[in-house]
Amino acid sequence: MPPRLLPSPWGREVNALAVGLALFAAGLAAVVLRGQLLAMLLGLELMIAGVSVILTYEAGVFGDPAGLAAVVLIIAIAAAEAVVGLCLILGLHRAGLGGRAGSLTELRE
Amino acid sequence: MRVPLSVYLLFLAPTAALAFAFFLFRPWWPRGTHWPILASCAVVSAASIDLAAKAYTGWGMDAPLGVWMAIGNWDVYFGVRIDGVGSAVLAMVAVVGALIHVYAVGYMREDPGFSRFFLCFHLFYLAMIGMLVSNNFVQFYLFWEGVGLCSYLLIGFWTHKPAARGAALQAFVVNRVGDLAFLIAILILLKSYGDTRFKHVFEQMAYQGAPLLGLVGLLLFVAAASKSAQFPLYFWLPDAMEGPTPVSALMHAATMVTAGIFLLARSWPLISFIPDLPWLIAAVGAVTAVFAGALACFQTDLKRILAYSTVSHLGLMALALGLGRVGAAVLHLIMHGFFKAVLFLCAGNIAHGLGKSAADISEVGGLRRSMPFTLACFAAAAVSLAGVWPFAGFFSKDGIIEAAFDGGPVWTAFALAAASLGAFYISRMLFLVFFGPCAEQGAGPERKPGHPHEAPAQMGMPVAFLAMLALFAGLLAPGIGRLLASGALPEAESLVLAHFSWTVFAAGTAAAGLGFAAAYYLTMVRPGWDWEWRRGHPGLESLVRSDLGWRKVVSAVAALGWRLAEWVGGALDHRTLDGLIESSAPATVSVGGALSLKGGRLNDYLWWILAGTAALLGVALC
Amino acid sequence: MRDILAFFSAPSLWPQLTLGSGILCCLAAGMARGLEAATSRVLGTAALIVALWMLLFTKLGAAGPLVTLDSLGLAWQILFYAGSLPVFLSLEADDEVPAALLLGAGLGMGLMAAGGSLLMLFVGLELASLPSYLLVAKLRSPSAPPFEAAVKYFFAGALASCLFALGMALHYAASGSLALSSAPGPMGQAGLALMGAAALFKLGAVPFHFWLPDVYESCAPALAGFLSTSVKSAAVFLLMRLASIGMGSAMAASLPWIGAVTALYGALLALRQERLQRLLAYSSVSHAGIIVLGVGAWAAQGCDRAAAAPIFFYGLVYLFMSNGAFFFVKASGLTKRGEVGGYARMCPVPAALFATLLLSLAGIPPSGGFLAKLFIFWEAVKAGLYLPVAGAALAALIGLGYYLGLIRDMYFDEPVWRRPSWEPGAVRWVLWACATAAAALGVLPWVFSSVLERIFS
Repeated sequence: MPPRLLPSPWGREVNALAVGLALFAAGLAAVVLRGQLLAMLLGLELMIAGVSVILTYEAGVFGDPAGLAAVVLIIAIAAAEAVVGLCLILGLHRAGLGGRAGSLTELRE
Repeated sequence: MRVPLSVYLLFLAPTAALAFAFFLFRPWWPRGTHWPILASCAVVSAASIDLAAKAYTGWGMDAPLGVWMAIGNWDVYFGVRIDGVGSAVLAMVAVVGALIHVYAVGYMREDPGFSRFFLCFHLFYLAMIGMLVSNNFVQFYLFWEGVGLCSYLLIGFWTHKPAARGAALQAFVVNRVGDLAFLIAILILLKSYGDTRFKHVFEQMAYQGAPLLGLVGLLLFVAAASKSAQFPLYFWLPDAMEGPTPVSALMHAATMVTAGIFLLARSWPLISFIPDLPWLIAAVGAVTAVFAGALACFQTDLKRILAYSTVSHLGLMALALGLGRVGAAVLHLIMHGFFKAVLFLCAGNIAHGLGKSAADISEVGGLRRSMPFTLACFAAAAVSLAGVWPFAGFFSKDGIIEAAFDGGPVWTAFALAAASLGAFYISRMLFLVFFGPCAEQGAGPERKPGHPHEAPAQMGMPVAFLAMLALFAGLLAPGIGRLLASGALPEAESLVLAHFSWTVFAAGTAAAGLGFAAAYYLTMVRPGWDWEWRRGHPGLESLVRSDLGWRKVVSAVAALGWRLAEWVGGALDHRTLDGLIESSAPATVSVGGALSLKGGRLNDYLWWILAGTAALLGVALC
Repeated sequence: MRDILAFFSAPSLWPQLTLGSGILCCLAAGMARGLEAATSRVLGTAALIVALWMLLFTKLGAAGPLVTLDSLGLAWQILFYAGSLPVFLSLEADDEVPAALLLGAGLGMGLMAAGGSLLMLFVGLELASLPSYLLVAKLRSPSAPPFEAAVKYFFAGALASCLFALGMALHYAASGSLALSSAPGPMGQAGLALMGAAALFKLGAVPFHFWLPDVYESCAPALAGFLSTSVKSAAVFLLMRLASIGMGSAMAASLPWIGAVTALYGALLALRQERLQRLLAYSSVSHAGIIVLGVGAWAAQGCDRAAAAPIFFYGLVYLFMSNGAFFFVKASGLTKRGEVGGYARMCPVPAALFATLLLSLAGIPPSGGFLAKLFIFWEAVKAGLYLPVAGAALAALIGLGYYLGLIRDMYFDEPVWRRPSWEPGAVRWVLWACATAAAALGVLPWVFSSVLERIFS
């Protein structure tokens, strides 16, 4: 299996998988650790970005256009997801519940 | 092979009748609910007699009637087995059941729950019939459960009486013990043989015995012991007399309680295959017979005397079975059905005549003048019970005593003691109720001036018919013997009825005579004996009332068990007057509280998702 | 004519295309003015029924790299579409957009069922989830905060979807294709675990279930019924596909344990609930646990297609039971457990229907729920999973506490609800149908046996 190395601006080659996973981890951290709903939404997008990187590179490694097609579809779906998310967050705003995840505590045990 | 119409009618008629009664009659004409049901009884009786006649000529069937479900690897077929034993008991159950249905029309006439009663009663009838013709253990178990459910509904029929509700629940719980044993036995059979059809299991058993076969046999016996009120698990039966009289007559005399014995008879090849199990059955049966017989001599409530008598007779059946005489046991099952039903119905008539639901010995006396017809029927059944030749009970009891003779001196002693006690208590009942001083002039502690009168003809005719059967079914005994032997599963020699022997005849009659004489002495020559010892020895009386202390043991065990369950599970809390299990103990609830996530914060949810994913990843990568 | 029939019955996405056109019709109807209030109901129900009808004529097979219809997919599409039918009957006027959303969710589930590639599974998963996030916010019941629940559902669900995507990417990296075949090595295992986590999330397994009570509690009861039956069936299907990809994997081996823990957790928490919809939510979690146990047993026995019948049967019975229970909550207007007392005395027939459904949920013979549980437990015992079965059986026993407790409150307590309400119309028929089916499946399973035989052979 060819090494999963990408040329990078720092002059050293980086592992593509590591890049993708790092993006994913950053997104994960944003979703789980941040309190603002919009920031969490951004985190979701970051995660998708990470996945796209991995898929794109692997598609190149295997020479399989299906992977690239998958990336396009995933990006489209992520966009739809962002729309839905924004819609819900706006609705939350309109209902007067603010934009922080911490204020969503009415539904509980 | 063509399946006769009668087999289908056995199921279709009651189902159709129940559907009609429930959907049409009950909403619009509740007082008429019994009409489709009586029609169904007639059809089923005719069908079962037809099948018995066919079986008599040597015909039999054991085949699936249809697919109940076939889902994936699960194939469950609805199968029917008609052989000698099954068809004989079926005919008895169908005919006795039909007659008691007729009786119940008159008995329950004024009751507001008339239509509900008939629906439950007929559902029981259907379940019992289904059980008798099942050809595999699973189906048998399903109908067995149905019978137990109907028993619960009918014992607790008068829901406004707390005693009735308590008795219904007690019966249900005790039967549950047996049901659990039965279920485990079925699961073991399923795992070992894959198929619980009787034929299949008994064949495979000979080729490849399962390692747990002994356990299966024992579990089946536990199930039979709980349903048929053998010694440790019998105490629900006397309390079950809280139900209406037709219920007591049909279920707790003729049919439901014999289900356990029938199960043992059906599984006889398996049970006899296991060493020492028949001995255990016989021992338990003997102890039950004598113990219950003794207790019956001291009861005061009419139906309770008969209940203890039923337990005693069930013990005799178990004794015969354990000694290897399946034929004798089944014959006694059939004859007992006839005469015990008559006795219960007469007791019901007496109570009905007094305008109550149950009667005590202290309230009745000298009824021979006001209720001669009941006296005649009662006397007929009584001599049959006592085993006097040439009446029906003689032939079956004779068979059991002969089996005991062949078994050994100890068994003989038990059997003769039981026979003697039987004659004693029934004669005591006969004398105290019908002969002796009239109620108004009696010497007992409490006397209510009742005005007993004969029951109306509708309630009298079935009793008369059954009394005829109780007297003269003995003529059918050889026929029944031939019937039992036809189409049998292996071990046909166990189904042969006893041969006549003068020794046995003499011994049996002597035992009966002894009991009769003792009863005569203690009731007629020395009247008041019954109450004197009660007043003089209240401690003795409370001892007898608690079944020689056994009931105290049972309640102590039950209490211990309940405390153990609460400690172990901390979750189950029985409410005895409710019939539904409510698990609201604080322990479980607080466990739930400890596990729940307070606060409802979104980030917590997300962390948990991460945690779960990490756990799965960890499992996957290691 | 024969050509047209041949065209229609080629293994392809005709049911899904029907739903797609249904969506378009609903949206078009939404833009038109002056239409009847029942338009959305009629359109949606018609689209679903046509889709179900098309299923009858669908032949199994592959159509391109993305679409593969096998017996499992065919059977599960029945569950998806049939489970969506009841919720349409609760739609009111001006509800064309929710109808379109529901059809969209059904379309997504259908695509998942016909999917022959991980990508299709992902697309279907997303297409099924996104409308449900919006629906939770949209179809609301009078006194609950719907947006909060929708936002929680959205974020948790989106996180799970991203995990699925990552799993897909890792699977692709390990095996070189997105087809439904196993991927070697630790990366493949990790990918499978991530995808499995997402499927378990959708199913409501512990510890991924926290969104479930909040969502079921605050959305409209009919929608909760839809979420608990169709969407859950979709998750089960996804889990089964993943299990058949990674048969010997650790993930498949951990499924029975997850199932047992979930069942127990759901039962324990349901005991404490006062609000009916939340109680039903936790009971839903408990049932999900038993289904996961069933999938685990199926995976342990080799993922044989014909042996998936018990899981399908459970899904079918659960469809009726759960929809019926939620519809009862909708029709009777009861929200708290304390209000249930004495209901039977005021409305005997509805109480009897609810009691039937509760008995089936509790798994008491002779109801359908009992048979369904029995099959799953038996399969698990055959696979040697004794301890998980014991846990699940204990959960069923604990479940008796709240199910029978509700029945007891209805029948034996003093009436507390002063104004018994009983909504007329279509809702009542749905309730009758569900209760009858739940009871009938226990007593007359041969009605469905022949159907199942045809499907699974």
